[in-house]
Amino acid sequence: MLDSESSEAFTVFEDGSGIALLKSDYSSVVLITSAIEKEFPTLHRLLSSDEPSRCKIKSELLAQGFFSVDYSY
Amino acid sequence: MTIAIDSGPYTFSIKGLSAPVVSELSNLYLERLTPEKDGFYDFSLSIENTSPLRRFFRRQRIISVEGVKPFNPISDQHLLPSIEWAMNWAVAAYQHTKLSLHSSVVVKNGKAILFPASSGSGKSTLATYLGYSGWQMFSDEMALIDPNTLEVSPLYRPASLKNKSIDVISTLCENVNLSNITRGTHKGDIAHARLYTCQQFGHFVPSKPKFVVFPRYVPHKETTIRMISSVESFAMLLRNAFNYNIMGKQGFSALSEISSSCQAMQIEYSDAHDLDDYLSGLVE
Repeated sequence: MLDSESSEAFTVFEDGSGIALLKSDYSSVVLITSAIEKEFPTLHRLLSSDEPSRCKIKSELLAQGFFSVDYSY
Repeated sequence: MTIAIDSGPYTFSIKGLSAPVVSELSNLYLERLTPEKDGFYDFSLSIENTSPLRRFFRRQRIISVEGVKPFNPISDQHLLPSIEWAMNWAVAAYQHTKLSLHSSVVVKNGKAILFPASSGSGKSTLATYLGYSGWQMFSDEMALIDPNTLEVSPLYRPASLKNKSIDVISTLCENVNLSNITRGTHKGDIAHARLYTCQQFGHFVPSKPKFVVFPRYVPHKETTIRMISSVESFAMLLRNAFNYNIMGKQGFSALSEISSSCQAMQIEYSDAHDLDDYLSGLVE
């Protein structure tokens, strides 16, 4: 399970294909892919935008309850 | 005998070798193999006898890497490939200043292509063929990537060929310098191919990867290419990364950078020459 405090770093891929989060244990990486477009339209819109903002993405993900969903790779 | 091998970024000290094994290693490493001198070596390997009781039943040897014995005992006949595997293991286990990926690396026009793949995918065969055909083969086994510059280091190591790939390379690369074949190892029959003289290797310089290609050899299949996204590339690179977790944020960032900056693709092929043409077009 993810929570907002447990990720140490994350990368938003510029091709809009998704984001990768490094969890604080440094050995787990969670990938969020654009395959979730239908389920999380806001996330997809943010990933597709020209100027992705980490904080904005994080807060919107939290607002959508995303961190209660485990998409661990 | 105790020898030293300079692979480029790392040096190895190997003690307990018999003259025939040193001779075989000399054929693979040329002037980069020297008698050991007092000094610093990155990794120390030693070939040791097994316990007297064990030897009573069967004469075997065991390889120690920095005092650790990560492999099962082996017969003298299997020493050469086992030393090569132990050298790989030493780098994968102890080297954490560079991101290490289970990947072949070839370079042309200063542009590197990574072939990350697991054992048996044909990455060594492909890298050896390309390395023989005008590319610079930096490694058939491991990509060592500087996390700051993202440059891949060239390694002076022979390609390790298994089973059918020995015949494939013998046929495609007529004048390649092949070691004797070691038969019946736990990975099958093994031979090593040296592609370059030390002088040729001296012209190799660290290069940035521009493409990540996940190759798959499929007999009788036309070359097919499927572009893959950055996040998918990241996931596949992650599976082939030895030490991203030990390197923490730095390793994660390096993987992210490579996934973002390199065009990634999956390629199924049966004709290495056809694939060579395609890849050469990419790096022109």
